[in-house]
Amino acid sequence: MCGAVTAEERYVEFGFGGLTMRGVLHMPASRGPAPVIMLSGWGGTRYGPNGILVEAARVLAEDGRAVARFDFRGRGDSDGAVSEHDLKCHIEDALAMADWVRDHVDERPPVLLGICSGGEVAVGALFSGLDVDSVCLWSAPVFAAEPTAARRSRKRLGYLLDYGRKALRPETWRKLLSGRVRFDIIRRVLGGAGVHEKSEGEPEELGRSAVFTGRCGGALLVYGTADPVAQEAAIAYESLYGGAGCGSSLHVVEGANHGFYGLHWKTEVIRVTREWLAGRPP
Amino acid sequence: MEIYEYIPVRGERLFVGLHLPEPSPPSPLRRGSGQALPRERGDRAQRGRGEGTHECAVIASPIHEEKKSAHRPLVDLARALAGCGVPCLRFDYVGTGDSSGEPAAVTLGSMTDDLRAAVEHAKRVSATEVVHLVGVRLGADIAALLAEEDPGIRSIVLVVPVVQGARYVREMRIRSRIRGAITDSEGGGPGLAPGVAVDFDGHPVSDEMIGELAAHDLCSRSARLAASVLCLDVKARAEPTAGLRKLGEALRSRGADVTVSAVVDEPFWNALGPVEPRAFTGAVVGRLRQGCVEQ
Repeated sequence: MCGAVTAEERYVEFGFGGLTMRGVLHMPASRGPAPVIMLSGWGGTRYGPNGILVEAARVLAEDGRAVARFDFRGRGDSDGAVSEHDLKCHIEDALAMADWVRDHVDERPPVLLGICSGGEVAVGALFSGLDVDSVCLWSAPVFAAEPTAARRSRKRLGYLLDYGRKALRPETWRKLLSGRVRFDIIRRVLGGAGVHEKSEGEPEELGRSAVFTGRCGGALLVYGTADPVAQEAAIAYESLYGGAGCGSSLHVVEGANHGFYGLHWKTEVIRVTREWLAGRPP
Repeated sequence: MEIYEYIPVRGERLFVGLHLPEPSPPSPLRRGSGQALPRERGDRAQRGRGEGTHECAVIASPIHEEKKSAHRPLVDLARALAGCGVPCLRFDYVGTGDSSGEPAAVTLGSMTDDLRAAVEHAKRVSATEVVHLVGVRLGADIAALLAEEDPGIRSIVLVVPVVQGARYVREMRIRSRIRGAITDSEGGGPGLAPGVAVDFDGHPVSDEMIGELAAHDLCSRSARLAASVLCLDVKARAEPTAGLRKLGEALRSRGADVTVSAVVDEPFWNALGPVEPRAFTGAVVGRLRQGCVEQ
């Protein structure tokens, strides 16, 4: 599993609100199961962290699925300013991507596969009434979560406690002292949990009584055990999908961080997703 | 106007994006209409040729997670260059991004081959022989290597080049260790495929690449360099590092006309969220516009 290209891959674009949205379509030779629309994280591109969305798209295309990966506005190659967008805009973009896929690729309800904030976007699309085959949420934080001080400190505290506990081990010190300690690198390894400030008019945070209006056949939730958003989010989404009667399946990747920044973590996420989708009714 | 397509390189498909000076046509589409904008590749390429441009720029991006973080700032840079009349081409190295190929097969050699192919493509579609290269991090090193062999490369902008590949390798290993200390795994171990030496944030790095990086040192090269060079630091203080100054001296000794400077801006290749490094963009655009006028 990695860079092999077995389906046709082509650049695609569409106009939306005066902007051009750009992406890549993986198109298998014959029609297979429901198409997939991939939704990247807040600051990310259609490639995903460590190229995970490209690899996953190629693997799913092997199974006969058409897969569309577009950049949100202001991200990647799409038009739009970097700083002027929020979750609400990205949900609008996802709905436009779904329109495009329906009109140009496959009319069946799609699978929405979102990583980090892209998972929130997938949930937002359901709240907006989009009918989907299913959703796959990778490291998705609680939908439209308020960036409260408690959440921020829990995230930092979780990392610090874990780091502190391990830092006491002699082998950790040996490892760290064998090279220069680079705090910019530590920040990168720790960070990237997709926290962003909310702007005016953004959706309300996911509540216990929230009900989405779109139809959804099931949800796969994937989190790493070293991801500070995991516990709260997994509980919230299991409640959301359970309440909607569509059911959810939770998979935990042992040791993985928020962005699955390890080859075997990445491989596990893609494998689990592929198997879960393959087990769904056509 | 922007043209995205795949070009053949070494039996693989290289994904390239060409930013042309012509302004994009306004989209007539309303929200949710979701219509494609059909464009014939031949027409598009033809529109890009010979429309008063006498030079072009090619951007050599970083790789691994630095590429992810740098992606949008380099799109913005390409658009800014096109906006002031310089056609600009970006691309994904084979084995990365939307290009085909195995990630583990990426080496300094393959990256240089890809940049060479991108430069030739940019010359063709821009109908020019004059090329400016802008390289960021490892992409800067690749740009400097290619400029040794191609006299058509008029200038190069080296943005925080790696310079010593061994340092880059050391950073890979440190990051892997830190990840192991913070989480439960270094992401490597028994799962690595044969020939893969390092799991670098989920990117497989081969033994061959590690070997090439270990031997790579921009300061120790001796081939003559005819291109004019800007060594550009991007940091919190407008003072280039001693390492960058040393590189400048080394390049000068090879015959290059070298400027070493720094802009105060965020090191965007390391940013976790979306950033707009305007000072960086302004510095590069200013440099290339100046180069165009001097010609």
